[in-house]
Amino acid sequence: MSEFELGAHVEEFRAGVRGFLAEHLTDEVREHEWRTGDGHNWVFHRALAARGWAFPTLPVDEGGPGLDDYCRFVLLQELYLAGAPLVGWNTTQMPATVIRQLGSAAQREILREIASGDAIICLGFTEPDSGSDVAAAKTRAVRDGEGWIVSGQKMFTTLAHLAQYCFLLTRTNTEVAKHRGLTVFLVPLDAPGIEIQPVRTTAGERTNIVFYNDVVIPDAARLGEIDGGWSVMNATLGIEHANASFWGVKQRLFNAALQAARSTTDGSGRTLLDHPINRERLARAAVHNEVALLMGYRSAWQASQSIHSTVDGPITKLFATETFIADASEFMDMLGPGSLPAFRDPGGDDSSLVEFLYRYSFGTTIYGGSSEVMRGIVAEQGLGLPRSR
Amino acid sequence: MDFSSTEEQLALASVFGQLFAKESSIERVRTAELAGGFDVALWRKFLELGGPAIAGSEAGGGGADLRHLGVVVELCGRWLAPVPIVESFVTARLLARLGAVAVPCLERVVAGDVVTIALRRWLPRGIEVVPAGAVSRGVVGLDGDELVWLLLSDQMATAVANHGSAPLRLLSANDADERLVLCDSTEAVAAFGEAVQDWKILTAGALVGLAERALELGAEYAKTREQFGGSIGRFQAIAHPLADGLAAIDGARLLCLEAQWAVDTGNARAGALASMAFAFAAETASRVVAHALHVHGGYGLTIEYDIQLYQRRAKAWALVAGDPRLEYQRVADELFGVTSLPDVIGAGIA
Repeated sequence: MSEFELGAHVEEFRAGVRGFLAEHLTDEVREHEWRTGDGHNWVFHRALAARGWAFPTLPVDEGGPGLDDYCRFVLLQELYLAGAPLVGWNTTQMPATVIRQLGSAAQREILREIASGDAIICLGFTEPDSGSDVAAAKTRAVRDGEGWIVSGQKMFTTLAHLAQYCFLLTRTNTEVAKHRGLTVFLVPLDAPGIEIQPVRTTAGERTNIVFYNDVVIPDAARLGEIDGGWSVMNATLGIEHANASFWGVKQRLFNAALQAARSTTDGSGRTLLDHPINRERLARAAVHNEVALLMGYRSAWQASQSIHSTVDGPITKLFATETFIADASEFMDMLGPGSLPAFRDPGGDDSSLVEFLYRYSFGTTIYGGSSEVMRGIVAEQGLGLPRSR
Repeated sequence: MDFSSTEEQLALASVFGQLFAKESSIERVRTAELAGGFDVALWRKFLELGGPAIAGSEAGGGGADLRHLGVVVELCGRWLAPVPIVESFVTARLLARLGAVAVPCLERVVAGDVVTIALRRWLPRGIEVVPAGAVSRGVVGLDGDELVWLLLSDQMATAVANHGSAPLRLLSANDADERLVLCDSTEAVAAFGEAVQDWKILTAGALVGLAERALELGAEYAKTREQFGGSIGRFQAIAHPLADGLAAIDGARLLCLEAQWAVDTGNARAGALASMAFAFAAETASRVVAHALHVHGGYGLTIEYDIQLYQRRAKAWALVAGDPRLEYQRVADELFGVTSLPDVIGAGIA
């Protein structure tokens, strides 16, 4: 029977997260994030870890808090809503979950470092010549005695300059079909031969190019089978798509736009919110956010029931992120020249937050699988259409 | 949080799915178009399964809740069932809520008469389009400040030829054989508002069913139609808007489920969610059928191909209540408070 309320324990948890954010998401943390664009702050992250939230779904008998899928969803959305630095936390959850499922005993030891807030993991998938076609990765891992030698270049490895490990997709076999020659490694980023160059985005985010110059790693760093990397990737991307509601950051945009519409007057003394065109803009965004929230809740419910859908995750990401750009664009137009001054944090007003989130929204339709890739999955898996690429 | 269906919902889906598969084939839908948009045989079968009385047959309420009626109306939309199930459910629910005064009207419902609701308030000497008005014995509507029951002549009226081939009737509140005042003033406005809210949620559900089937027709055609040496479904210009349609339909269905739940449980957000579901489902259905028709190329323009049956109804089912885009103003009123501006607001749906 449909039921659209979270249990009391989840609402209590949400209240706890909001209390935590009031205390730990300080002006200093905000300023650091605004200045660096790191998407990560060690002081804030260790405070999260101290509450047991660095890896919240780690079961109790493995030393974690064993939070359920709803609490994990709520935690991420509340971080988004408050504008907390969360990228490092977020990129760590997927590989950590996969390590728990597939990792060796030694690799599962890393989960302790993650739970204690001492380590985060970044994702090394994309390359200069392979983005959407992620299985076309060329970064080589070649057997060398007991270990491997990795050489190549990765693009957009956000947090490579702060993370302890990179969840790295490599090519180990060039003689077979591209999906069958991939292997995933958990590479320590302090290994000799790794060179990191910063890249800045239009939303002020820092990401990186990472060069692997004959980096020697032990076979113990391998995750899953040799040439079995695609199944590891599928597990990872499945988790990523199922976490793609983006409700929290969409609601942050909505709240800023609504406040700005209430407090901005036009020449005749009416507020922007008095105008039917703006009421419609805000109402449409409210509808989009309600849908994204429901899709997010459904993902959490499916996870809790061990229901796997290949279509619902991509639908969620496609809908949530495309409407994010559309709504942010409408809100920029609504605010007119008032939306032009650039955001700063702390101290940015609601209009400039709209400006920032408009820039930010574009990335959400690209990273983790572009909207075009999502549409392809939905068309094939959801409608049975032929491959269109 | 729970997105699963109950045994009862699954049973309803099975029973009504079988009913429509047998009694609402595309051939029957086309035949009904030539007979005023109503299939008497299907209506009788519907009565055998409980008919409008499923939604309310006794004074004081007690009919099935929206979560169960929602299962039926989505199938109704999917099969374009040429019987006014949404309107009769809404009217039966309204009458059941009204208590003793509506007992004679409920007797009509139980007897199997078609009953309906005039969705827009009658102004003095006004004439409004009433959905299913051409095949109904009883019409409930807001006549000024009075909520009235109009008993119409048992002669079937001629439907005006219309976009959705529905049994629409242009009706004034004075056209009745009998006129019974059910309640008045604020009580009337509140009862009517509640019924219109039910109508929006159930119509949104029917539009979801319609849109999903239209999308399937578009996808099926794209898989079989060959041009440039292969099926046109392999072109992203064809496939990707279909994918966007599936996502929007999924979203519209979730909004319907939440709105149904909100009404059934007396949640304070019911009004906002009903308007959200209606506005978004109407817009989604309209957009989905447009692309699904376009995928068919020139064939989509012909009467022979079925997609046009969906295309016309996607607009027609929503528009009997007014401009669906104005529903976003209602969402705004619910969420942000009523605006200080007098213009525009209130000109749309009652």
